[in-house]
Amino acid sequence: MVKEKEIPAVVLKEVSKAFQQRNGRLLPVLTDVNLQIAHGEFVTLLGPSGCGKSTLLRLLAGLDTPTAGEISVFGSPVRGPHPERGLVFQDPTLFPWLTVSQNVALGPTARGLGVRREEVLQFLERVGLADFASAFPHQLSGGMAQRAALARVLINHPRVLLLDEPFGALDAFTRMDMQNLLRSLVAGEEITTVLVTHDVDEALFLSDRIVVLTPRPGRIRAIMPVSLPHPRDRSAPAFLKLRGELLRLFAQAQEAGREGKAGRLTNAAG
Amino acid sequence: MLAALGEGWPLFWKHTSVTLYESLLGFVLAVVLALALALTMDALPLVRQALYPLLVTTQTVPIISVAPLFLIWFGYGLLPKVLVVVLVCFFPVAVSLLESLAAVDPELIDLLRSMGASRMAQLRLVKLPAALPGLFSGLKIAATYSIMGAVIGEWLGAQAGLGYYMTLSQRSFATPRVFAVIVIITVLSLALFKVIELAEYFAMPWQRLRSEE
Repeated sequence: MVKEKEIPAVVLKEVSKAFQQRNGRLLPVLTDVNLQIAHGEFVTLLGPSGCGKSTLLRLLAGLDTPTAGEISVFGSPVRGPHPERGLVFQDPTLFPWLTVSQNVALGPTARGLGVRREEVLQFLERVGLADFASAFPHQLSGGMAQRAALARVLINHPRVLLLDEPFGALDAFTRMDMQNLLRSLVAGEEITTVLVTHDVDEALFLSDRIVVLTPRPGRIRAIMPVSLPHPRDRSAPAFLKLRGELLRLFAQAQEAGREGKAGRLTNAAG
Repeated sequence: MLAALGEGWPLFWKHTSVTLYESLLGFVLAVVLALALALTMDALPLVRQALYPLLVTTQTVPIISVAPLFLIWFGYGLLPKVLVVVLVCFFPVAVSLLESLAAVDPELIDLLRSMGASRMAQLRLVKLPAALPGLFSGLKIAATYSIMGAVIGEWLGAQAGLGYYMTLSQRSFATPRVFAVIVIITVLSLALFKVIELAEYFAMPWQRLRSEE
């Protein structure tokens, strides 16, 4: 018998996605994406805008279906959204008519389940928002709103966390703060995380592996493992060395996209 | 004019209550109809595509030309007036709700879908609250139209109501009484508008807090 831990958490097999354009032609957004993500792994999809990384995340969430290929999560194919795959957007997307604690309780409420007040408070505490339970979203700063969004997704006990540039709209210091918070939230938990970003430092600080994508259409250009121990020092020589390497890969990917001859998969996942 | 209002107060009050009753009844009916139609059209894109042009067409037909038909079909009673009110109030409510339901941030809906929310839950948790401001602007327009609708209905044929009393006063050249009726109509319309504003205030506490800051 195969133990559950030995099944990869996420498997993408030859996944392609194309969108129908107004003139009827298909616009390829993602081509031949092959990737396996292990249980509890933190993988970052890194690429310039237009490389289809957000589309890939939507496919994983089950909000869109791939044009070709297969996606499975914990051994079963993805057929539509499921609360075990939690989603966080760049915009906190809090509901303005709900208080912070009502926002956090949204998942259970939406599924018609009751949620205990203590549980909501416990999750608010974990993201450092316990004092703002009865505030309305417009009273929060950008960083606080994104904290609430994290608590809102974690209360559903997701096994896979899908983050679409969650800190992209925050200032540099708040962003680092949030990266530390995210790290503390997923470390030690059985959560597999897929982060989409174009921030090289963010990718290096958080990931076990970084997948570099080429733009238009998105393909995997390279996969870089990051084995630095946590907590990572953003200014350590080893970190900066990897950073240089990653920037080079990033530049190559952009170049490949510009020339329109996207590079082949250079590194098998696993 | 004030003297006329003071002297004939019981009579004014009698006609006012008739008009108010017609307006409120028509308004409520129009709102119920508009809600049902807008929600159906939003849920079923085919129905929306089929009915939207029709909905707009009904508004291009001048009320003044349809109202006499109502009179022929339904007589001098309550029904034709209520129908005129429904006809003028229905459109702003339906269109404003429909447009604001369609304009709800798709990310909010995606988020709820990712949490396993059913379509009913999506409607209740996102679409309706997000559409409330739009709905209320439609309701405010409809509220001010409703009294006018009833008065038009009464002009064309009635045994009571402000419109009826107005034509009667005009024919006997009782100008002060005509002005008094105009003032009453204005005050009623304003009052209805204020009632909707008050309902809006209580229905959307999050908006209230924002404007207080």
